[in-house]
Amino acid sequence: MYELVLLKNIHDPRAADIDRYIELGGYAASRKVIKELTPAEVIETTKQTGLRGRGGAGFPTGMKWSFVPKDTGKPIYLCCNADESEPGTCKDRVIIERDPHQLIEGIIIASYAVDCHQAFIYLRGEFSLGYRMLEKALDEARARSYVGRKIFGSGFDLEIVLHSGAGAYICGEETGLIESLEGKRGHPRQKPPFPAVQGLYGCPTVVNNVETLANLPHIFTRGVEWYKSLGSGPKNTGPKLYCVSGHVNKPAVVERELGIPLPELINDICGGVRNGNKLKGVIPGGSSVPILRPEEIDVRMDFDSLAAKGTLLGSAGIMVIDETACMVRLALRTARFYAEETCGQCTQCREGTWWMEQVLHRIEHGQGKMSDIRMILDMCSNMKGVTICVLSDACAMPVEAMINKYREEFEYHVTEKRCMVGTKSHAHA
Amino acid sequence: MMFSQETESKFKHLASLYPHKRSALIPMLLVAQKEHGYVKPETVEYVAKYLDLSASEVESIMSFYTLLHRNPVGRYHIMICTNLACMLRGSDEIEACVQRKLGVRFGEITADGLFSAIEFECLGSCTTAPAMQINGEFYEDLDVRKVEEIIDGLRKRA
Ligand SMILES: Cc1cc2nc3c(=O)[nH]c(=O)nc-3n(C[C@H](O)[C@H](O)[C@H](O)COP(=O)(O)O)c2cc1C
Ligand code: SF4
Ligand code: FES
Repeated sequence: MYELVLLKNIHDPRAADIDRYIELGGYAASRKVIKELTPAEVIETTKQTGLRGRGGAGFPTGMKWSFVPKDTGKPIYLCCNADESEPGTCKDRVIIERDPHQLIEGIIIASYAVDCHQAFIYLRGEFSLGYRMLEKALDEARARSYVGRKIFGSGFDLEIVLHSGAGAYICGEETGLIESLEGKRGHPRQKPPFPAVQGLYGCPTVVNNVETLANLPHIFTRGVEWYKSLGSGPKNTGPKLYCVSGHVNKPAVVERELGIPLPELINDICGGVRNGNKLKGVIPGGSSVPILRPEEIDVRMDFDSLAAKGTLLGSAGIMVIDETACMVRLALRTARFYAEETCGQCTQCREGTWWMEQVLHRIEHGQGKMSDIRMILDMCSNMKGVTICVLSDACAMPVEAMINKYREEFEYHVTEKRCMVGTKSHAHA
Repeated sequence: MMFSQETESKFKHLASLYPHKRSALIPMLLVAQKEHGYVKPETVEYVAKYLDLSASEVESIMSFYTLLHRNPVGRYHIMICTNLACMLRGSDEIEACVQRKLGVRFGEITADGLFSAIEFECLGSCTTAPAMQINGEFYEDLDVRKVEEIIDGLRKRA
């Protein structure tokens, strides 16, 4: 039986109230950290747990914090990345709406570790309820001096500003987020310099995902050994949220250890593929990662096991696809998303995503040529590893995998001018 | 007076929150939009002046963000997710149903000014798909009947 950690409070309708949250043991960890530990100890402990960022890239959190220079004389900022917009992903929202104090505690601990006195929550503009929940939770925490001046009666000051985005996927990319928070277009910045050195307003800045930060109170309540006892190995530790959507009987945001076998998630926890249909594929980490075929899904849901299979854990947005879905249409919808969301700074990304959508549209509607398939694959290889941020790769990788792994469906569309699945004809010509 | 007292005081608060007041730009535009339904040209001028920016700069930044409207939308603005997880669970039918109920195409406003609808990207509601938002509130686990009821309900309320 798995004991919930990150989601343990979410079925308590009062957990968002600070009194109830405290009754449930809340704010003990952040208080202890501030009163009893040094920032260096907080960083060291976090390093020892092996916690890796839950926002997509899986970078070790303690190490990220240790890159922040201490002696620049400039203020240090923490940005909580609450922009959750990766298609297939809805895990941070659960924490934000139902257990906002857990996140605030995480922000307090991380801020203390890096000596930040002003933190920002960059919240996706669409999350209206989340905004109200966080606003109220922050007011409650301020009223008790858990946020604000001399928090928990210590000498440590921390203000937390809730900032609303306004609809742009690219503002989830950490430097796009920083630009947006500065009141500009969310254009990602060339790296280096990395945000840890030169981020918000040119100052050292740490960007951490909501779920990453939510791990922290538990680490400082239950300790390193406990934390490392969860997971599938020393480099893949701790609890993890998985968003299982699509053609399963019971779609859900599920918490289990990092590295749970994917079939267990799909079949045992989420009730298997709907209507007893045949599985066609699984996208394991949000729309930006390569799809797995049914014969590839026997894999653990952790950073390294998925990488070994040529895909990524990403945001752990697991989309299950059964035999009724048309892969050409999925590829087109994927490309369309990135074509919509590219910021346009890099030619390969701006033009690649646009062309990819055009050509896939042609194929989907029965007007494609065999050479179009080859052309998309060429475009994909030209879009990877050459741009300011990885949105370009995030379009190329999944589309390339869909074509390579389900090529017969694309070819069928070209030769037969209709879908291989179902009876719908897409021929408009 | 262009804005209500409440909006004015929110502006003041927002501009005081950040080390550089320009950071308040997008939140201020969102607050203004809440009052007027969209960002009016006068709002752009006003907010630009407030933050020591030029109006054209504000215009250009604004165009980057899909939630900021430069033209009026319906009193109830429906955003239907059509991304992968929702598509897999029938967002096509939801889209068709909304268009049929409203009798307008995406991007248009109904003659009574009550409704407008657009296709939208992933709303972060993938495990409760298909999903849509109306004026920022979630409607999830949708089917055609539910959508009809929701729209009828809003019509009645108006
Ligand atoms: C196009 C793009 C979109 C991203 N969107 C998000 C997002 O919505 N939320 C998030 O936490 N990270 C997102 N990331 C990852 C961030 O850049 C960054 O790695 C992360 O916030 C760091 O936090 P972590 O170390 O705690 O994971 C995105 C990255 C890219 C390239
Ligand atoms: S890769 Fe695409 S989204 Fe990223 S900076 Fe370049 S153009 Fe913008
Ligand atoms: S794909 Fe529709 S809410 Fe995520």
